[in-house]
This record gives sequence, structure tokens and C-alpha cells, in this order.
Amino acid sequence: MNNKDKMLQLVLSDEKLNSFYEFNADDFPTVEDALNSENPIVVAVAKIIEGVAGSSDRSIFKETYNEVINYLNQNIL
Amino acid sequence: MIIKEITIENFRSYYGVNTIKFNDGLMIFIGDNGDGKTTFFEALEWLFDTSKQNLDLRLISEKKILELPEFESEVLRVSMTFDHDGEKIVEKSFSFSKDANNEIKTSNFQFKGFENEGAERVPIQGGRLLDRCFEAAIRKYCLFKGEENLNVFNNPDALNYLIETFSNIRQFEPYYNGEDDTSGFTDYAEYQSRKAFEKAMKSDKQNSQQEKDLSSKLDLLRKDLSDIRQRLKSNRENATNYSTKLNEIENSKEASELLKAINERLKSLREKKTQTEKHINEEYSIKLLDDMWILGGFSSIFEEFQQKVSLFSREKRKLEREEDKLKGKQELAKEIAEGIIPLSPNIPDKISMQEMIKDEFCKVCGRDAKEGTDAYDFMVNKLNDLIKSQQPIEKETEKQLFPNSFLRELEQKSSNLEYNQAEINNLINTIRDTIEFNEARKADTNKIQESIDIEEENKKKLLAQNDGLTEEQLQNAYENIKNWWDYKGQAEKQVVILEKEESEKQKELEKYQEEYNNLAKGSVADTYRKIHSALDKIKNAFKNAKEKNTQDFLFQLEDRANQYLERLNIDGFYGIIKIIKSADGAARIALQDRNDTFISSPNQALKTTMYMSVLFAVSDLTALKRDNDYPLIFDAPTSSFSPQKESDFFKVISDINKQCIIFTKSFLTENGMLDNNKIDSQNCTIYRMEKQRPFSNLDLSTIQTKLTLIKE
Amino acid sequence: MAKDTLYDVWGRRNPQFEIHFEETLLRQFTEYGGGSVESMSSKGKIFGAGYELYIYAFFIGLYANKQKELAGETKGLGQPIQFWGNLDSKKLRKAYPKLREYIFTALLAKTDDLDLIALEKGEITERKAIDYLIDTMEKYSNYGFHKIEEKLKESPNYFYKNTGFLDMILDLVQTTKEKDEAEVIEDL
Repeated sequence: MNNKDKMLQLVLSDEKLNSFYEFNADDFPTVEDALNSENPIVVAVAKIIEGVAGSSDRSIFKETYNEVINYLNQNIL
Repeated sequence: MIIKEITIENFRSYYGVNTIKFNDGLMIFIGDNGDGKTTFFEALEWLFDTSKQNLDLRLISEKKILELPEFESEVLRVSMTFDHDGEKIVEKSFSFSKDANNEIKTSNFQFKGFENEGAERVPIQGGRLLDRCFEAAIRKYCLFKGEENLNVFNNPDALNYLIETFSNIRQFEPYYNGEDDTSGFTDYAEYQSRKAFEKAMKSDKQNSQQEKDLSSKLDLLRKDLSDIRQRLKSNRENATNYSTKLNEIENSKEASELLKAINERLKSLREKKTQTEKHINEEYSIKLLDDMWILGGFSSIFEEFQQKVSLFSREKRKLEREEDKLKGKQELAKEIAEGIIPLSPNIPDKISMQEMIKDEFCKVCGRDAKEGTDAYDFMVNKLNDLIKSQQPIEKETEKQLFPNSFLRELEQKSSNLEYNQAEINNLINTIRDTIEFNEARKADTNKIQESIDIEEENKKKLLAQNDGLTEEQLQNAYENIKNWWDYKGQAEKQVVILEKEESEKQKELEKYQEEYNNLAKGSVADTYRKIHSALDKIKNAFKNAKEKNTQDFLFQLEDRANQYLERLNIDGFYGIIKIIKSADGAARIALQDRNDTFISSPNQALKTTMYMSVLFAVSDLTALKRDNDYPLIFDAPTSSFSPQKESDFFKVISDINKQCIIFTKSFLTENGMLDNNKIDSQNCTIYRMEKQRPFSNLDLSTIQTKLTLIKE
Repeated sequence: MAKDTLYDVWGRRNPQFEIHFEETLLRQFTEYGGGSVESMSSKGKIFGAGYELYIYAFFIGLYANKQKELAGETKGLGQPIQFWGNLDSKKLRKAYPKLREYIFTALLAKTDDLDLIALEKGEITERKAIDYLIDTMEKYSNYGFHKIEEKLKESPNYFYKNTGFLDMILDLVQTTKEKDEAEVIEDL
């Protein structure tokens, strides 16, 4: 389990998040698993982690943001 | 990283080349103060210093300097061979030489390293190698010079340093950076999506008026909330700060009282000593004259004098009587015939004679001398003779037998001095008594001084136990308490008020936010609302995740530290280590017992094991994170331990799977000899560090540290 | 005119000592050569005027009951006997004029050459009588000085411990006492 996976677990374990959007953090041990999830929030989190990938570059932020927004636009309930 | 070998050449007391090989377990260096332990440390610190080039003359071995011939040069060098993903070497050195004026010149500073790449040894700049393998952040937790420096959280930034260096917290920065910092991605995303939402709302003509109202209200509320939160933060910080200060003072309150008691005792002891000393007067030589002690042996001589005077007197009177006899005085002749020589005319004196005659009683022999008896006549005649002898001498043409009357002078002297005879006879006793008195007072003074020394020692221990609070600070404890209570109270009150405000504002904000959101329902803007809401929640999730990460790290640290604490205190009480983080990011290590009560003043030995447990735990976590362990080097950590605890302590450390180097005074007996019993019971490598004999403490050039392996 | 007492005549005299003792003893232990007796503590000398050591030496000779003839060059002390012991009692010291009287009586006891009867008869002058006494005094003191110097050679710090001078006297007194007691026992 690498650091991205650890971070994913920590974020998905947030009670407010997982109770509001109804998902279980244990179901997604890796970022891969999360990307393939049916829960749009879970996917969004995974996309954020993957997309930013530890960079603080503004252009990366913009790119990732657009990707997440587009995705959510189409998939959020 | 494991140290394999260290070489110190001509660095202060390390004259010539001194090489020590290290194994990967515990190694003990035994040395007393001044033998070279701290110098060893300083040599390592000099080696590891990547900030400057230090060619200070004072680092050079004095002995080497003394021996150095003119115009020849030598080298000062410290090098370390270590294992860190392969064998590496780091070395720092400079050359020095003596010029014509006997002055030392330094040159050729070098700081180099070597690492193995395959079969080749590749040179690399020393600083770079160190920064890569053993950088300052790690060294902070490896080298500890002295027991008082073990409290790794003395520095307020220490905890943040630890968390940043050894936990995963850095990873979170791109995503979320803290409440005051909106540079993280999730802040960016939340903000952008909110703007998008608001834009969509504004462009919806249907609700434009309400939207305007609500959005301006919301903006205001957000601003207010932000202000309140700022003030809350600063008040909370204040409250914590004063709380911490008060806690520290609580701990030192006891110490403060003890200190007061000690100072009072010291004052009274010192006064007592001064009083006692006042009574001591050992000016014996002066007393010989001023108190006439020199007459201690005079009794027999005075007796001789008196006998001589007596003899002189009798002789004179004998001659006088003989003379008178020739002049035909009958009564006297009769007395002489009977063999009795009369007393001098002025003995007894006139007053006594008159009294006896009046009383008709001879007071010399104690018998009646009634008028008319021979005894009475004798007394009357004697008195007449006395009176006659006191009459002015008639001019006589006859030559006197004894023109002088020195005898009288001598008799007078004898009589006068006799008066003091008792005192003179007793002088030997007086002398002895005085000397005894002085000795007793001196003994008393010494006893008092011993008590004073003990109290001073106690005072020192007390101050040392209070983490170096000065005497003044301890004494001022009481004055500070009142102020701090007030400030803390004020801050806490403010916090309560502000929290209430915050909560109200928050509710208001949420209310209006909901209204605003409701406005969005059913319109195009709704999707934007949902997206914004999701991103907002995701932002909070990242925030909480970061917190949890830090918490986990601290729990891990605590947990490991407690495991070590148990091992290091197996035979005694130890408590539970808690690492307490305060609002401003600082931390302290505290000890709790099973009932969650804080142990406010653990004894020094317990404190030491506490700090060392945390350090071992940090070292573990470092090893985990870096896949590389680091050595721990301590200088005299066990000075407050009892001998038994020390023995056990070293045994436990040697079982821990870490490279640990400890310098200590233990294992030395009172007169500086090795305690072989203790040494035999240990199971690790032991070196002896001592000054080469002979040496003079006044001459640095005779000081040389000698290292001897005494156990493998 | 009242006639002078023997004591007065003796008091005006100034006994002699062997001159080399000035360097070796007087300068070391006394202010001899400068200063009043009372200020001696500030200069670190044990005694004040030179006569103080002279008195001490005298008692050494007296208690040992040994005399030593003066030899070589001699000189007198700064003050005649009548002033000995007249200290200003205000400071650290006390006056001890009575000690002179005891010395006087000791001299009389121990000077066998002096025929008191002849003196009383006027057959010898007071001056002559006092000469005898001074002679005894000088011989006892001289013995004392020699003894002190001997001790100093043996043990240079002996007199610097505070019981130094006292001990030397006490040792002599004890030995004399023991000798006397021994003699008494013998007589029995």
C-alpha cells in the first residue's frame, strides 16, 4: 500500500463524507479501485489524488479541476 | 546509517591519530570529566557542520603544537566511515604549521567524501554526502550532549519538525494546507466551484433580487465569521499559553517552596556559623604576653624568689640583731639565747597590732593576751618598735650597718605578687581550657559547614531537576501566578463569548446558505450547487485526513515510546508517556499514571528514561520511513541513576537492536579506578577514556586523551 | 629625694642580644625596624616590638634553666625595660606591665652571684647589682634565641601555626614538671 492509497483511505474515512454520500471506505483499498467505483464522489476523490499527484503547479490544478468538474457534471446525482 | 569507524587526529586532546572501530550494537566509553568525552562530541559536531569552514587554531592539540618543529606541517582531521546503502566515508581536515615567529598558521581546508559505486570508490563533496545521508534534521535526534539536552521538545518547533520530517504530512500540502492557507487544490476547487455556482445564480434572471440580497448577506456573514475565527484563534492560543505557564509553575510551586525552605535553612546556618566563629580566638602567641600565659610554668620560680627573699630577710635580721646585741640590748639577747629570731618590725602591721592589743588576744596563735601578761607586754613592745621604726631617722653620726632597705622593696614585691599566685598557678588549666574551647567551637563550625554544604547540594539538585529554571525564576513563581491566572481567565472568557458568536453566525450563515441553495433548486444552477457542495465536503475530508495523519503519527510515537519506557524501567514505576500538542504547534512530553493523572515532577532518572524512550521511538520511525536506521549518541545520560539502575539500563540498551554510543562516568569507583565487577556484568564493547599520565592541569600541552579497549 | 628602687634602676636598662638574630628572628616575627605594636596585625607579623620576642626567648631560657654567654657583636633593643608591655589597649592588644615584675623576680631568684646582703650594706652599688641581673637576663635570652633558631631550621613553618610559640613553652613546662615530680619521687 503506497502513500497515495494511504491518503485515499484517510480521506474516504471521513465520516461526514462517507455518511452523506453513502459509501464504505474499506471497499476501496487502492486508488485504482476508487477510480473504478460507481460512487461519483469516490471517483472524484481518486481523480483529485491522481491528478494533482503531489504537484503545486497552478496549471495542474486547473487541469485536474476541469476534469473533476466535467466528470461530476455528468455523473453527480 | 551505521557508523563503522571514527578517526580523530590532533583535535584538541586527541593527540596524533586515534581510531575507534564501532560495532552495530551498544558501545560504552568510560571517562571522567575532562577526560575527553565532550571533545569527542565536539569533534563529531565539527565534522558534521556543513554551514561553514572552521579552521580555528584552538581546535588543534596543544601537545602537537608544542612538539611541532619550525616550518613543518601537520594535519588536524576527523573522519567517519559509515554504512548507508554501501560503505561511505566523510572526512574534514586542515593543515597547520609553525612559522619563524612560533605562530601557527592554518591552511588547506578540505571537506570530502567517498562512496562506492559498484567496485569503484567515487569522490564527492563532503557536505553533499552528509546532507544526503545524515542531514541536520536527523542529526538533531541522534547527538545528545548532556543529560539536560535530552528533552527533545524543549524547542517549540521540535514537534513540527518531527511531524514534518517523519510523518506523511508533507504529502497533504498540495491538497490542503491549513485554515489560513488557501494554496491547496481543494481550496482552489471549492472556491472555483463556488464562483461558478454564484455566477450561474446571478445569470438566472428569475431570482436575481433575492440572489443579490442573499449573496451580499452571505458575503458579510462570511467576513464576520472569518474575523471571529481569527480572534478565537488568538484567544485560544493565549489561554493555552498561560495554562501551560501555570502548569509549569504548579510543578515548580513545590520546588519553589522547597527552595524557600532551603534558603531559610541556609541563612540560619550561616548566621549560626558566624556567631560561633566570633567566639574563636586563637591568637595564642599574643596571649602568651597579653594574658601572661607565658607565666604558666612560673610557680616554682616564684617560690624560689620568695625563699630567697625570705633567706635574705632572715640573714639581714640576724646580722641586725647581732649588731644590736653588741650594743647591749638585754631582752633581745635573751631571745637570741633562746634561739628565737624576732620577726621584722613591720610584721604584723600596725593596724593588726593595735587591734590585737585592744582585744587582748593574739590572733596569730589564737590565745588570750590579757593585760598584764607577758604576751600582752610583748605585743605592746613590738608595737612601740614598729612606731619607732617609722619615725624619721635621726641624724646619726654613727654608721648604720644596713644603709639600704632594698629588702623591704623585695618583700613588698613578694607580697603584691603573692596576691595573684592562685591565678598564675592555674594558668596551665586556663590555657588548656581555652584551647579546648576553641577546638570545640571549631568542631561546631565544621559541623555547621557540613550542613551548609549538604543544603547547597540539595539546592543544586533542586534547580537541576527543574529543567534549568534559575533560582530567580523559581522565586518569582508566586508573583507570576496571579497575573497569569488573570490573563488566562480573560482569554477563556473571551473564548466562550466568541464561540457563542461563532456558533450563532455559523447558524445564520447556514440558514442563509440553505435559502440560497433552495433558490437554486429547480434551476440550471442546481447542478453547480451540488458540485460545489461536494467539493466543499471533499475539502473538509482532506482537512480531517491531514489531522488524523498527524494524530496517528503521534499515537505511533507514543506507543513505541511507551514500549521502550517499560523496558528501561522494568523494575520500577514508570507511568505512561503522553505527547501533548498545544494550539500553537508546540509539544511537550508528559507522564501520566494509570488513572490519567499527570505526574508533575518525575525524578531525574525517570525523566531521562522518558526522553530516551521517545528518542528511541523517533529513531524507529525514522528507520521505518527511510529504510535506514540511525545511531544514537549520548553524553552522560545516566548521571542521575542509581548504580543498580545504571547497570540494568545498559543491559537493556545493549539488547535493543540499535547502534547506540554512550559516554559515561559510570563504572568508575570513587578514586577514579575501573569497577571491574560492574564491567564484567555488561555485555557490550567498552572503551576507557582518560588523560594520559603524567599531565598537569595547568598546562594544556600535557593533556592527551588515551583510549583503551577494555572489553570486546 | 626618694631613693630609686632596684626595680626602677633595672627598668632603665636596655639588655643586649647577638646582632645576627636581628635578621634571622626579629625581622621575621616582630615589627623591629618600624611600626607600633598595635598595628602589627596589618603587616602580618606575629609580634609587635622586638622586645616581645626577647621576652619570649628569655622565658625559653628560664624554663629550660639554661644560659648561653653572648658572643660576637651585640646590640640593644629599641626601648628600655620600663616601657615593655605598655601597649595602647584600645586596639587588638592588651597591656601587660605586670610581666616585667615577674621577670624581675625571676632574675633575682636565679642570679646567685648577687650578694643581697652586700647590696643592703652598701658594699656594692645598685648599678653593680643590676649588672648581675641583666647579665642573667641576657644569658637566658641568648639561649632562648639560639633554641628558636634551631627549631626554625628543623621546621621552617613551626612558628606559623597558631600554637607554635605556645607549644614550645608548654613542652618545656611539662618536662620541668615531670622532672620535678621525678625528683620528688626519688627523694621519697
